[in-house]
Amino acid sequence: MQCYVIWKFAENIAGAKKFLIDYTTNFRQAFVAGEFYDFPCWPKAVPDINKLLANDPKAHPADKYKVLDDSLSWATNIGYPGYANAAIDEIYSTWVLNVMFAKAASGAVSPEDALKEADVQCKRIYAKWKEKGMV
Amino acid sequence: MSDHTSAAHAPAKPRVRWLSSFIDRPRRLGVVMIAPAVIYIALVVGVPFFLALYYSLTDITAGSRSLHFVGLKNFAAIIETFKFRTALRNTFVFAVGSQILVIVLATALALALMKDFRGKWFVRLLILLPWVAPMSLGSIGWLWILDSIYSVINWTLQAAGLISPDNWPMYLGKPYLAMASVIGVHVWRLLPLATVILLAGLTSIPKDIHDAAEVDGAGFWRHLFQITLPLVRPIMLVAMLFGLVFAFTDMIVIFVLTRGGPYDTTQVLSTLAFFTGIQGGDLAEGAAIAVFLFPMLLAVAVVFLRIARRTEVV
Repeated sequence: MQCYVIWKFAENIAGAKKFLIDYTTNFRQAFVAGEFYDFPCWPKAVPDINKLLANDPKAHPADKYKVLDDSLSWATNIGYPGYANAAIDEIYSTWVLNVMFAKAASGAVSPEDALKEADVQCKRIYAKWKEKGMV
Repeated sequence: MSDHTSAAHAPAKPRVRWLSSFIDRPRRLGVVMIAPAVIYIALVVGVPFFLALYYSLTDITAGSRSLHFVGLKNFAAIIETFKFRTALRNTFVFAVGSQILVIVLATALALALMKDFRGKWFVRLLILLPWVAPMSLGSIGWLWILDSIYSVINWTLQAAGLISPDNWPMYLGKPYLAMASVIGVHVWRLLPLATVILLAGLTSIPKDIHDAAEVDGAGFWRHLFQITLPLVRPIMLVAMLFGLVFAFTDMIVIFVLTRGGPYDTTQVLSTLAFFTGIQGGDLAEGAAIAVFLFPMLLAVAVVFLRIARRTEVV
């Protein structure tokens, strides 16, 4: 999962914005050209996604990816219900949530303790990035 | 004719004289010859290292071009976190555990390779292979060998009737097995280097010492503990030093096999530094984690080299 950003010091911010607008508004083209590698964030970006997934001429069998039909209803962006930012990136990259789930699921600690531990880490990471002025 | 000859050689004389005088001055020649190595180390090792030290004292991030000096704040912050303390403990378990195994196995292998037997060159080649192969490639091979579904080890154990299909060990999915696996792969990787170093040490032991002990009726263990090991101790310490530094600083095995999991039980300082600094964007904290053990490693290196020098056989 990735997100697009434009650096504050980019030389062509207007061009980068235009590229992202063109890219997202023509996402069906990108989706097909990328051989379904990048899924759209919004269902309407590729209105006939189910039809495309059900009949991929390069897949064997052609409906190999049909199982992903409803993926947009259960997949979401990193940082949900908010949006991705520097703190979310560090939480994601240092496996804070994965570790929380794994510890609780394996019985290494109780779910409450796993949640508490992750909460402490998330709060610390958020405070740190807030202090740096990047959240 | 003689005029022509002297005229043709005249311009070459000063150059030859300069070159010979340069070669005759070992001090200058030595400086010039060692300079490429020093420059290379300074650029490839020195600059990144001092940059990491500098970064660890600032608030630099991957998303900003500005940085401010914050002193030891990053170090104080990381020490307080549970994740860091877990990684620190894992680093010691990983480094010390793998080094004990490496030294014991390398000593046994080196002693075996000192003997003459058929196909010795082939065995030496096989032992050296892990060192020659790229580490990432070897680790990916191990990733498949230790995979929870495709593991060839489990397949063999099942075929031999030692485990049942519903009882396959998950080498990279259980904390203790995962740590044992990453230590095992690291030992596989470092064993050739330690063996070659120890082999060099063993060949340097004068044969007459062993012959004299033989005459006095010394057995294998007496040879090993009272002659061989004391005499190879300096070089063994060098092998241990290399191994420890590798184990404390390397991240490839763990990155490829477990990414620090399951739930941080194989997370070590080098991987945590990478995940925090590079992937997480907090370069300052990542640098602080990366250089945290530097004073201790430096002290270990100094102590080891001093002991090695004191026990050197003249």
